[in-house]
Amino acid sequence: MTMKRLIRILSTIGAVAFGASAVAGAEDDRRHFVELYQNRFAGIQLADYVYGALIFSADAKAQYDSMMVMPPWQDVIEQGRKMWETPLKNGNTYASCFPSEGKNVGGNYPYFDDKLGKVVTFEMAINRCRRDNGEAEYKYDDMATMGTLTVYARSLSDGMSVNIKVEGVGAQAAYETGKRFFYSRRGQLNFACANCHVGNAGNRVRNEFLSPVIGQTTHWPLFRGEGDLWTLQRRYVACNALTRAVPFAIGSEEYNNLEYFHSYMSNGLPMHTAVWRK
Amino acid sequence: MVRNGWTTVLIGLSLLMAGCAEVPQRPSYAITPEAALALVSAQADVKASQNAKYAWTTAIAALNDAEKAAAKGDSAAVIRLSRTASSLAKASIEQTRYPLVQ
Repeated sequence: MTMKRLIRILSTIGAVAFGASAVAGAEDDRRHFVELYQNRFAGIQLADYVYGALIFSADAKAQYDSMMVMPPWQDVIEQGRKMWETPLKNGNTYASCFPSEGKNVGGNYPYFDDKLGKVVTFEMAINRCRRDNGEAEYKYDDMATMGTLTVYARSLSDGMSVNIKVEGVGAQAAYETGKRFFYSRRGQLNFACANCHVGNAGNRVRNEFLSPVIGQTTHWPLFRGEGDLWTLQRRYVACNALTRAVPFAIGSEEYNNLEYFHSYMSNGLPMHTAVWRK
Repeated sequence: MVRNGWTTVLIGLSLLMAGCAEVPQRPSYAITPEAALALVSAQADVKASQNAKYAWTTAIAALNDAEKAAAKGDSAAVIRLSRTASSLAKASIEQTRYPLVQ
């Protein structure tokens, strides 16, 4: 056996082993959170974590339930539906760009694309669809276009279990980068995402309960306050700005990797778009 | 007819003068060398924190205020605000070396 061949075999074994440990690492992280919260909040069922901080306040949950009976944002969803169904320049539709015509696929995003060598979010898939069909891309921070289209498109995956995969060396690296962001302190207030949403989940900041990390990504975009549309990464921007850190751009690699790690933590939980939050 | 003509000229001159009075004059204030040095240092420190992707909004706000003070020729304010901006920017770079939250 030549040395070259030996190296190739060892590299293959190494890559397979590393790939397997990548899945184990992400899954270990998720299980760690589940155990942590289930020990801390013994009476709360895992499925209820999709309600975020509402699980800590019966009054807030009652307001939420009341709001969800007749959501005031139905016109925005309807607008998103029209955008989704309007043919693109070459006559194709958004549905043609996704498996199952876009139904029950949202839970697979974000994923790591080995060919591109980066994380692909649902919004990036929409923009790729636009680009491939002769349309200009939407800006990721434009709630009137990207936000409105996404809120309808992701509602087609209501009930689907979040199903993020971390497979392969590139995926593991992106996951670890996102995880590192989550645990890194930023801004003059010196806060990491983990400060609020791991160690202090269930505690209050001023008058608001802090939500646990699991379940946080299952319901975006969502409506806040009196109907302001927010994507997940718009929330990242706001969180970073609250700590007095200069936020990254919506759609940046930093936030995409964070979303990748973050979304994996909700694996197995059902999606539900759109919902209301304070 | 002549009287009406003079009235038009006077109104026109008045409007012209009023317009001239509203044209902002660019201040030609100067700041002291010490203030200028503090400002340049602050700009470099904030730039370094931005390059590290760890910039703080408070550092940038202080730098913006320092630049505004420089435009007004307020050297004391330039020094004070530039030092604040530098201090915050340096702290933000130190933050990149913080251990991860456990």
